[in-house]
Amino acid sequence: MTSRLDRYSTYAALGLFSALAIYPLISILFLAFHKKTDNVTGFSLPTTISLHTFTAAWTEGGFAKGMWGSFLVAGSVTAVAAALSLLTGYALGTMRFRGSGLWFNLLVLGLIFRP
Amino acid sequence: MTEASREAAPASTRGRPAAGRPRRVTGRAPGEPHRIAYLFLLPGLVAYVVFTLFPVAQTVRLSFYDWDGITSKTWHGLGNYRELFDSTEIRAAFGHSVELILFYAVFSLAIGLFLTALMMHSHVRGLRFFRTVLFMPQTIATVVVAQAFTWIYDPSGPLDAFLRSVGARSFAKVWLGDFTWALPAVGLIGTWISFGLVLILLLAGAQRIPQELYEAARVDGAGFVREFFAVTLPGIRNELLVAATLTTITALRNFDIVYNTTSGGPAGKTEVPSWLMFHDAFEIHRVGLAAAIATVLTAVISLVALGISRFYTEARQ
Repeated sequence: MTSRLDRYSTYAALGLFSALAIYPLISILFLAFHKKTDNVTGFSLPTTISLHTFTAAWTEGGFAKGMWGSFLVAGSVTAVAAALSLLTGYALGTMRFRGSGLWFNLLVLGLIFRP
Repeated sequence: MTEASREAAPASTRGRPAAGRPRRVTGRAPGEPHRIAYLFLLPGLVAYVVFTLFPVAQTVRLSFYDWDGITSKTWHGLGNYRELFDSTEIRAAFGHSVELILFYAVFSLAIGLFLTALMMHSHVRGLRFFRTVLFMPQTIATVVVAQAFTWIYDPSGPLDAFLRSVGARSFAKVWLGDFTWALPAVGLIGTWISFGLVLILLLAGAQRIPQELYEAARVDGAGFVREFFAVTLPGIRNELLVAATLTTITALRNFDIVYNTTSGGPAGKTEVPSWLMFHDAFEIHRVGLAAAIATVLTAVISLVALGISRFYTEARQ
């Protein structure tokens, strides 16, 4: 059984690092709520919640078009990559043939080159 | 003609006394080796050669030329490499990368190990909640991360506001524009991104350690530190190897964070090889030199990855 002090210090450390992990994300969310004209300084909470920036992202930023492009790329890449690696993985995983280790290493080498 | 097709078509081998003879004993299982496997490999291999190996080979070839990307190439021999090793700017960029390993790999591994040790030592509630929150930085697009931290490091941003509020006014500065602090500031973004991934990997390994080992350690009177070195650390060796390799590679090829926060500034203090490569190829049109940097960087990353796995195999024996 671990002591109460142990447990509290664990909670404290986990809480601290969780706060550090989440803070930048919250700060950018708060920034989004501010009006364009607001001069944001420090860690000020937005006094009024303005959703103007979100509509602007869709109308001026072309968010919808960009998102659709992302889906298209993600979808086709996943489909093609899954089909190709399914065949390759099946052969490498279930069959024994000359040079299988060599082929496997050659394909794994590609991981280094990824941007 | 291959051996398999000869075996499959005995009728075509006229003149041979095939009938009634027992099958030749080869010492292999029937149907092996599977030559059909090459057919399965073919599509993946073709895509791999076309989209990965060929561009890499092309890059290596380009590194021996002097080329602005538009007019015709001229053979430059090892000139680009000579320039690379002579240039203090490029050498400094590789040095910055090494410094970033400290932040991306060493710091995040230290934090990950510490939190894993804590979580294994005392059973806390809401483990799943903490795991999710701590992993969140990994899931955010790096452009957004860079944007958030540009704001945090801004002189009117939260970090300086915090420092002023606790009375450390003299520490407040333009973090990303400071000659000494810009690189550590960029590096800490890397720590922030990496430590969640490291923690998830290490925790996955640690949760497979049999509970009896912890009980035994406690019966023997092991404290937090002893328990960590005797039980947790040996149990997560493989996960540590994976985490170390991944974070080191991320540190070495870091481009997006630098590009979206400092763009190499101030005065080249945060320039890294990937950024220089991009800059040389697309901004000052020295494709040959950029290709040389890319080649050297790839070689360095391969060597480092190999070195880490070597180190681990030796440590295990």
